[in-house]
Amino acid sequence: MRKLFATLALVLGSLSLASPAQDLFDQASFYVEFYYNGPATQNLKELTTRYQTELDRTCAPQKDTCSYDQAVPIIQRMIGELDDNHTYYLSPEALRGSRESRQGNAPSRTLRIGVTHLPIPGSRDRLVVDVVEGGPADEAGLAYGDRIVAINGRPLSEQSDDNQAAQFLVQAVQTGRPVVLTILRGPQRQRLEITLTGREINLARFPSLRIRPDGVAVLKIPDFDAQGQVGRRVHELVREAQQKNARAMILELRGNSGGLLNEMIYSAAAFLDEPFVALVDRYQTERTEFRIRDGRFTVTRNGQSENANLPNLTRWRGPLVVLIDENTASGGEYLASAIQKAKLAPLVGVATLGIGNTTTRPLNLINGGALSISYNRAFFADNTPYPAKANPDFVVRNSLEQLANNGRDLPLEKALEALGIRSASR
Amino acid sequence: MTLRHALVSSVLVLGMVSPALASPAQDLFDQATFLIGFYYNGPAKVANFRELRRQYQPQLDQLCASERDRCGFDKAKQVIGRIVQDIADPFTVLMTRDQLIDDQRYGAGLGPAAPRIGVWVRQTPRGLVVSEAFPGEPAFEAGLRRGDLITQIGGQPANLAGLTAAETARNAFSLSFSRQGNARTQNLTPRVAQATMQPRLEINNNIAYLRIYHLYSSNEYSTAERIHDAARRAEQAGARGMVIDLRDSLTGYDSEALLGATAFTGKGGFIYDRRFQGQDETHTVESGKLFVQAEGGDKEEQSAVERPYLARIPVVVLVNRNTINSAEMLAYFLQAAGRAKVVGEATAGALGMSGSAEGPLLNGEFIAVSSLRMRNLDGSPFPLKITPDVVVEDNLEALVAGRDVALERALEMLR
Repeated sequence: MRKLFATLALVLGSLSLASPAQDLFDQASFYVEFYYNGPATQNLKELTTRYQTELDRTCAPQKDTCSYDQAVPIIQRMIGELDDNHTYYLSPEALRGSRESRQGNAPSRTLRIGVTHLPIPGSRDRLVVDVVEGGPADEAGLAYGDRIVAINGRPLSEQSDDNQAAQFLVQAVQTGRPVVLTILRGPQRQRLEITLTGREINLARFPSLRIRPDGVAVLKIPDFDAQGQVGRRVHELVREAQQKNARAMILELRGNSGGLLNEMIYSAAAFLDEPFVALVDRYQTERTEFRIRDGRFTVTRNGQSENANLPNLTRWRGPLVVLIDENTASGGEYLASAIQKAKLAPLVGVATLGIGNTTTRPLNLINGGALSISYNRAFFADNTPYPAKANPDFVVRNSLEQLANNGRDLPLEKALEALGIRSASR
Repeated sequence: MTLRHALVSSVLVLGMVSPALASPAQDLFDQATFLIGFYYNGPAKVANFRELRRQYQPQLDQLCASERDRCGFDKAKQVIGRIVQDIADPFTVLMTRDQLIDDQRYGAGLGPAAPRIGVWVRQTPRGLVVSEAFPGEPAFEAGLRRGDLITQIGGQPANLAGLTAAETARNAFSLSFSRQGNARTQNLTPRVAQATMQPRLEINNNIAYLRIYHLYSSNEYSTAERIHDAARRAEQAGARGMVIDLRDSLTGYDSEALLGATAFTGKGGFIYDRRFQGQDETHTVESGKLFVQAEGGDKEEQSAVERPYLARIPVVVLVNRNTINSAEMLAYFLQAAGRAKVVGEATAGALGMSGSAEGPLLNGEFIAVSSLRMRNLDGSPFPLKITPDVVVEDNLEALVAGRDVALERALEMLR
């Protein structure tokens, strides 16, 4: 028998009789028809049959030389109809990329300062909405909600449109020379100048901790991608918050895009007594249970258990609030739902993306890419299903307008209020 | 051209209507025929999945004629069984989930999941001949040994079905056996085996005897590691030669067979060749480390023997008609490298092929498909089976009389 190695890329290329496009389409259709286990209710066989006619049309001129690349957009449209964020096509390059971020090492390959910024309606300024941990922007202290109004002394209002404004920043960074950003920060609209220099950075994301002046710790987990590095770091940061006598904690899961189940459940052990997820496939041939109890991580597959000791676990026992939004996905939703079910903390924000009850599995395709499909359903220890969406106990919408113009982060303010802490920002 | 096109579209329209009417049997048939027809790359001539479906659909229709859309999985299983039979390579088979769970347990260094008394037997008209009694299991503890003849189980004449039924019932039962004419009866209670199927080393008169039952492994356990350990212990104990007994050995992992063989060959490798060309996969072992290289990709270390050893003592390998797949490969790696002589019968015939358990199928079972053709590092194909250097047929009469003819021959060669 061939032993399966998790990291190994499988098959590529084809010389069988059907066209490469047909082979690739057949394989993708087969995966969808027989292994899709997500919420979509379409007749899967009808779906693949319909797209087969489209493939026939596309390939009519070339017949058996019709290439993989001609099948790919058809496959993408086909699975697009399922409208399921856990079901998507991965090109060979994308598959490599996802492997890199699993390893916690995703080089940017260009000069970057490590921020995501959005346009602000009625202005050419840019609003910082995400900062990559350990990048130049992070090191220079740039933060969520900062409004960039000028670059190297030139006001962004001089730029002709939003694209030009964004390009202006990119070009300044690409010179490799120091860049001076003028920003407005907080409700006081404090004006600051921050100097930073672009460099090649690691785009893999890691948890981070910030202790606010009012003593509240904000623990941000952007994703659970980096194998062996997220869960461990969460426990280190919780311990740090305890050592610094944080009076309460806000768990920032807004924008958390999910990742590895192992890392999610390891992270969950910093908040829950006994984090647990059971995964079951469509035909219920495989039931895999993940559980952490008394510092031991147990994975039980069809009754066979494997154990690992998790040294240095910490537990946060102080006041806690969890922030979620419509971009909180997959692993982020699992964690929020588990904390809510255990009645450990209220959720603040808006309902999450809606893939919090399935896992996705990349099934290898013969072009070197993969079709990631909703493969397993997830269950709690009491055998009730994880909910698709985590629903907030306090509904507060992110308002980019309030953030950009008044420096107010409304969900965060609500979280502080739920913790009984008067927001310093009012 | 136009007419043909019209025919094709009418088939497709039918295809769109049929899903609502498809029976469980039809779905299972479609799934299994895809897995076989799309991936098969073994020695048999197998049509692609569409053609395969066309060939066997009439048989399914016939079986489902009365039940139509309620036609159950069992009918599809019959047809899939016939396809597998027609392919007739010993690797391509339907597998139950329980078999896969057992394989996982072997990989963890354990015995099968269900309670057993711990024997491998061959059925004969006189009863069941014990070919192996696993030390530490109920039968061994009750005194049973290789060569004993089980005559009665629960007071009934012994046969395979009776033994299986008694083990499945889990209760204590009486078992009568004879050793060279001396009859005995014992009460046995089946139980779940623990670490009884790991390789077993004995050293007698300066000759080492290594019994290998399978070639599975996991993160916690490696059969190859045990083979390296055994090779080291044998040489340190001053053994002048070693018999490796692979008779009746189950399969396991090809990479584990390769790693195990390097306890005697030092290095080696093989190529997995798929129906879909463009990227073969090359497995090599150097200094106890297993490297896997996808064509066009980098050579990556996948696993390693913790304490690799290289033994120099002469080796004879025993095989028989039941030695299958990865176990055949272990014998082949040693024979082809000129590192061992092989004694016994021609093997099961799953040497030149491999694959994984595909599925799960709709009914919860799996199917092993020969999707990989095995090649040597120079590109030449593996033979389909081992041809022994010295042919010695299994002789159950002699075994019951207390003689292991093939083993005697092997010991003679090492003397």
